[in-house]
Amino acid sequence: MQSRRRMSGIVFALAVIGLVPVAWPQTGANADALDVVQVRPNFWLIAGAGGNVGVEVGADGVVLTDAGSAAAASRLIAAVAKLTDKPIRYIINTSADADHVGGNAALAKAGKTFFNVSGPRADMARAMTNGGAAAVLASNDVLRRMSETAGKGTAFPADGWPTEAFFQPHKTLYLNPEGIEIFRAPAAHSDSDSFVLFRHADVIMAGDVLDTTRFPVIDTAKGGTIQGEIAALNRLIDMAIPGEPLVNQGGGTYVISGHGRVCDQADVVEYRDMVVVVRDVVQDMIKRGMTLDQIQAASPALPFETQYGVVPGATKAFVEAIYKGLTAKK
Amino acid sequence: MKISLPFVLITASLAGLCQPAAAQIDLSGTWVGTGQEGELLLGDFTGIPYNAAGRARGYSYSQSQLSEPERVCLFYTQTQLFNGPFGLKISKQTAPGSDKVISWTLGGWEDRAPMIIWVDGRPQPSKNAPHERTGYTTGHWEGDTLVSYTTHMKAGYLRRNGSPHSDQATMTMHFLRHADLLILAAEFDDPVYLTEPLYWSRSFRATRNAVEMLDGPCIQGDEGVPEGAVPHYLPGKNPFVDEMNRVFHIPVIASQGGAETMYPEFRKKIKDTFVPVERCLTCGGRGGPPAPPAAPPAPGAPAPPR
Repeated sequence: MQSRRRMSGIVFALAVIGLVPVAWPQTGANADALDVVQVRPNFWLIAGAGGNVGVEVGADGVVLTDAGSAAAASRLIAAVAKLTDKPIRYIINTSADADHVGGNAALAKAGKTFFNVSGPRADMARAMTNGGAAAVLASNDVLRRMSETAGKGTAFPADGWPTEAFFQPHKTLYLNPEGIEIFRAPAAHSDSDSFVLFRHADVIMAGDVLDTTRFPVIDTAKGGTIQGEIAALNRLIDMAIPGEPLVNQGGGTYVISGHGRVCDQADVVEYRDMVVVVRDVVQDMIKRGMTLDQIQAASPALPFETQYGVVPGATKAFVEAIYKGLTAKK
Repeated sequence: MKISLPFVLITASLAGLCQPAAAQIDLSGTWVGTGQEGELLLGDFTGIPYNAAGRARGYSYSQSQLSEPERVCLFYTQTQLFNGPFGLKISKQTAPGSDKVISWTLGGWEDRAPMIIWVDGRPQPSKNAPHERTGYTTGHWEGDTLVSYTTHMKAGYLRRNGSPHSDQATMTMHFLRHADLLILAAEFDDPVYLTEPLYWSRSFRATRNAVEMLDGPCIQGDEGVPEGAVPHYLPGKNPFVDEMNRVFHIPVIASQGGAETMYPEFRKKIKDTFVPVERCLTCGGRGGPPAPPAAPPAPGAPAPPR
């Protein structure tokens, strides 16, 4: 206890004179309405560029998780440049949504591959890396969704597609130097979801499985299911370590949502509980023979609508997705 | 011309030159609560200005949620300052090499994290910053009163009976010291669940006794709710909705809360239907009607009220 108090005193003194960002992650550099929040000494959240973007910085360069929307790409590049002069080396996508992958092409081109694109095998290296750009790493399902035919062309231009697509449920990197793990989250928000765990920073980028601004978007047209959403949230809870046993000192794994604020395990539990409660209520109504219209009219998500249903149509879409998931023929 | 020292001091004081830089009143010390407003009856939202969502959330709550493995060590938010049974340990911190107070700390309890009130002018964190168990609090002096403003709290409870507040809630507190009496008065706002602010006050008395604040570690134990299970009541199935009526004859229209139930005029509305209980139920165990029948357990293992 004595040493704990002494340590607290030292930490407090350092915080006072600004040597360590102990008290709170503060808003740092701000670029044109983007909100840049320092989460760890080497890790930032950039919000406001579409989906949330994670920025990990180290000796090897910058690892981005997601790239925001295409429209915000130039502002995002400027915001990253204010944090470090290191090049962007990797972009890891958590899904194939436009607000997460739209900036892939521009952000990758603003970065630099690890491959030598001027050496003897320059042609191959250029071809593999979109002309020497940073790598875009994502599951094969992200590549499939981005490259599927839409109208006269594909859903996204080819220069934003993943250059490194993987099929495994678990993929790893080691950069900056820390272990970076990518976990697939099957059939949750969509069929292309992944989490990215930065082991040293102790930060998980959760993508749109976790969205603190609204009920989760379960995109049933793209393979999302309520069962997968709940399983993914439970997986996040398992992966995140709470600040125990010294609970009053804070700490623990940070979980960054696809949209909204930085969370920890307790916040994910709160969100998971909300999803489960609404699922159970809809399930009970289905058992009682109610139709989707009758269920919608009965407001099964009422306890949570003033927090997560403020986006127009969010409540209705969530309830409908649950209904579809629970009544789908297996 | 001769200028007296008292004149100089008075003049300087009027000009504000002798005002203390930060704190006008020293709040540091140990304080014991003179009472607390915590309520443990489930379904008692009387006097809470809930909207329909807040009430529905409260009625979906099962006390067994506290036994979810991840919630065992989560405890309560800073609302527990008003609802918990413990006293206060207040200390001040100064800038290095200076006597300028930059923060006040309300020591934590075993079920409430410490609160640091920053009075050095620093801004609130980004809305996207994490919400810690401490919340984030800034403060300033208005005369002899310290006024604090807390944001970034976790979702929690207004009372220890599952009455919810959201993570969007804010709390403005006034610290008023009169000799050895300290009064905390708070305005609690929650755009998610409240239609009007909720007001609390609590008194503390200074003590020279050493008070153990029980700010210890917490280790998760198995309290019977399996991982992934979320105990709750389906709409219309909460057996405690009328508990206030069964125990105190308070009609559900009052115990369900709502802004109307905060004001004295509301008593006139229920006056004709209210029948006082025959014996005092809160007089040190001196009697009362038989306990209400045990309610069926919620899904998942039950947990005793904390």
